[in-house]
Amino acid sequence: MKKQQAAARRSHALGDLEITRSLRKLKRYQFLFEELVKRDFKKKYKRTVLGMGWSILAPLLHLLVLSMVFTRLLGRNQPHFTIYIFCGNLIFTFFSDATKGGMGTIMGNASIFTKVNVPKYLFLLSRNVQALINFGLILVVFFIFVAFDGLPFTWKFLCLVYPICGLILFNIGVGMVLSALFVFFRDTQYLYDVFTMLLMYMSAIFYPVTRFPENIQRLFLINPVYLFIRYFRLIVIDSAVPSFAYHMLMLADVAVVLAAGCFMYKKFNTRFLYYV
Amino acid sequence: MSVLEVHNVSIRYKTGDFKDIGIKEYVMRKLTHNYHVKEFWADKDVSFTLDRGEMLGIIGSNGAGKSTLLKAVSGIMEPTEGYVKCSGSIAALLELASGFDKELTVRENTYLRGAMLGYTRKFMDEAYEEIIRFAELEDFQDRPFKQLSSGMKSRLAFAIASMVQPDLLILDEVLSVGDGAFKAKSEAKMRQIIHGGAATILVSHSLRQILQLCTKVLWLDKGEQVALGDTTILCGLYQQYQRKTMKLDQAKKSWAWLNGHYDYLIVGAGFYGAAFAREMTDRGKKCLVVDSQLLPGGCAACERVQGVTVHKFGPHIFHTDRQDLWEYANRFAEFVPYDGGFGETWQGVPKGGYSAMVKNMLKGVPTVTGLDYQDLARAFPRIADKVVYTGPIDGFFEYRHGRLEYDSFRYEQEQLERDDYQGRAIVELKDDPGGCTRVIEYKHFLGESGPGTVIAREYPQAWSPKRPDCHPAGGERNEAVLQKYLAMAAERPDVIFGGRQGEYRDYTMAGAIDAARARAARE
Repeated sequence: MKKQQAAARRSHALGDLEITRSLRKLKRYQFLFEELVKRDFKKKYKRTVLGMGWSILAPLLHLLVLSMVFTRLLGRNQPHFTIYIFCGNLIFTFFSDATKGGMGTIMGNASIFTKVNVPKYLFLLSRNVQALINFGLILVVFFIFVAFDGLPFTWKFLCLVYPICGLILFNIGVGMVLSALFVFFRDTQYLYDVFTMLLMYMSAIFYPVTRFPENIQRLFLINPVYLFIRYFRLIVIDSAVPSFAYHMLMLADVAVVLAAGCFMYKKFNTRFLYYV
Repeated sequence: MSVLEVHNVSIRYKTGDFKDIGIKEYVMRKLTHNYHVKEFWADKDVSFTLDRGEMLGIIGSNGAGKSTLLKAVSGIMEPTEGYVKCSGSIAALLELASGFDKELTVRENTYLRGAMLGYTRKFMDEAYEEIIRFAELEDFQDRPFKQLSSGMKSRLAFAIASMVQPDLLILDEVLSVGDGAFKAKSEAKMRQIIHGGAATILVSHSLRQILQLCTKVLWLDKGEQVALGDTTILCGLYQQYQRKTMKLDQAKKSWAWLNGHYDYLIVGAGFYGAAFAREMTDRGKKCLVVDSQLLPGGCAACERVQGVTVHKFGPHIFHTDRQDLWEYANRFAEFVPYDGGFGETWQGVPKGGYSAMVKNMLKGVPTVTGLDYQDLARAFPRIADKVVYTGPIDGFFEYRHGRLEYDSFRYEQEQLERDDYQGRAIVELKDDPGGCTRVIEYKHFLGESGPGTVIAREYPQAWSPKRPDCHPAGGERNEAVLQKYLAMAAERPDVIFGGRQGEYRDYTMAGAIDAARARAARE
């Protein structure tokens, strides 16, 4: 063990060694990771008739309801309002699916990591892959909607890679924090449910922020999920690339959350055992 | 170089209020100083090394720290103190049958488990058929896992885990499930892995399994390392501890004694052995007494049945005409006189029984019970300079010239509700239709009172090697055989053969004491 630690320290000094080491580790756990992803996938869709289709249909139905309510009943007729809502819905669904699902990954795999020495983040990552696949499917539908709505596909759409990658990492970070907290406090789940609901209303999913005064509008930027949503809307609807500062703000959010998650996993790595 | 080195490993385990409480409760308890976390040492200062081809058995009752130790070895937990050094790959099978996903099929679970154990997909593709065949689950491959019996689950778990040739294999209660046929198969597989050069750790509640497979044993109790060493000896001690015939500190002491070096190893805690040990110890020599029985006293061993001191192998009366021997015996017990029978000057039965008397004789002499000499000689070949062997002499030489025969009796013991059966200790019967020669009512030897009584009927029986050997039968054939063994004994100056069985002589108890003292005086 001590030797290993010493070896770890040595390879720290030599950055390239570190990379080969993590690559080797990645390769070592690749098979397990694949099997975990498969497992999560099978388990999720095993009991539903529509299977995978359901995970696309659900957000679409949600979207349908929202756009009906707001355009028909409340008479909102802002241009591309359906796409506007879809952007918010798409991002928020991905976020809440990944984080809510990620919360239980340590607890749910207790029977594995108390018996086999495997990195615990694999469980979270596997769950996130599943959420990502869902997101990808809806994203395809989203683009179809965009085409139907007559919005132009420009080179700027390539910029969407940035918020997508950012959101993936952001979700992982939040998932790490949540899954660790959930081990210690089982009511994390209920608190988080309330929190996500609040967050949803604060993410301007089905209302335009322009209705608020400037300074209130700026307050929305505190919400990282809103940043991702707004990025999508700017590119898709307004065909505008956000400022450099905007990019940096998103990056900072991702970095902070990811750092917090890694810190918790590292700190409690050997302690989770006592709580399950 | 050893595959595994566990060095002074201590693991602090936490348990307490923190499980299943919410944030509100946590804050409340913190505020009211009512939040209790109990920390305890699940393992304390455990050290051992394991080489290739070795198999370590870990024994100990529940809560001994076995599983926690295995978790530290397999890297799931980190030792609080000390370190675990493992050179090579580890395959750990902890609480096998659990950890499968009951929603998945057998096939899916097999792959998932294989992946957890660090196999590659290529390897799993190749080994899959073999795993299913070994686990005998051909017809269940695509069934949901929850339909499997616990035996099937363990079989599968074992089959997957035993597919590789790890450097270190950790098995926690793995072989304890499954039917007899599978057990045999899995044990054969285990042997194959061990012979392939793996070091193995086995935790099992089956001492039989540990005795069969392990090359050494680690005994843990409440996290503390009680002993590490020879399988047979430690399993023997552990069994006595489990049966509550030996306390833990006695077991620890016994183990420490066995690891010492002595002038004399005395095999058999009968009168010869005890007297010899007493004499030599009083002369300042280091002696260790071992006996295969749990009770000292040899053929005269006594146990308490219903408040009555019962001689386990027939009635024994201490009798002698020699005052010095009588006085010697009285140093160790208070005798209740016995009239009749032998017509000698001093006759009596010791209060508390012969086992207690021998225990007194052995006061201050390290004594380990329930231990076979053969096992001891194998485990500790250089434990003593000289051996005093009071067991059967033919047995010592592995019956090479045939067995020496003994007169044999059968005692049918009976506990009766009434207070008195025959008013005296021994009643001789003549021409009993059942062939009974004597009826012994034990309470009358010592005038013990109390409700109920214990009697035994004595029947002479044909000699058989399996029965206790008390009275040498003698006769020409046996004398001739004895001479051959004595010739062999003469070539072993490091072994003193003594006592009824060691010399094949029908000593009285006083006679055995006399012979032992004389022999001790010549040393």
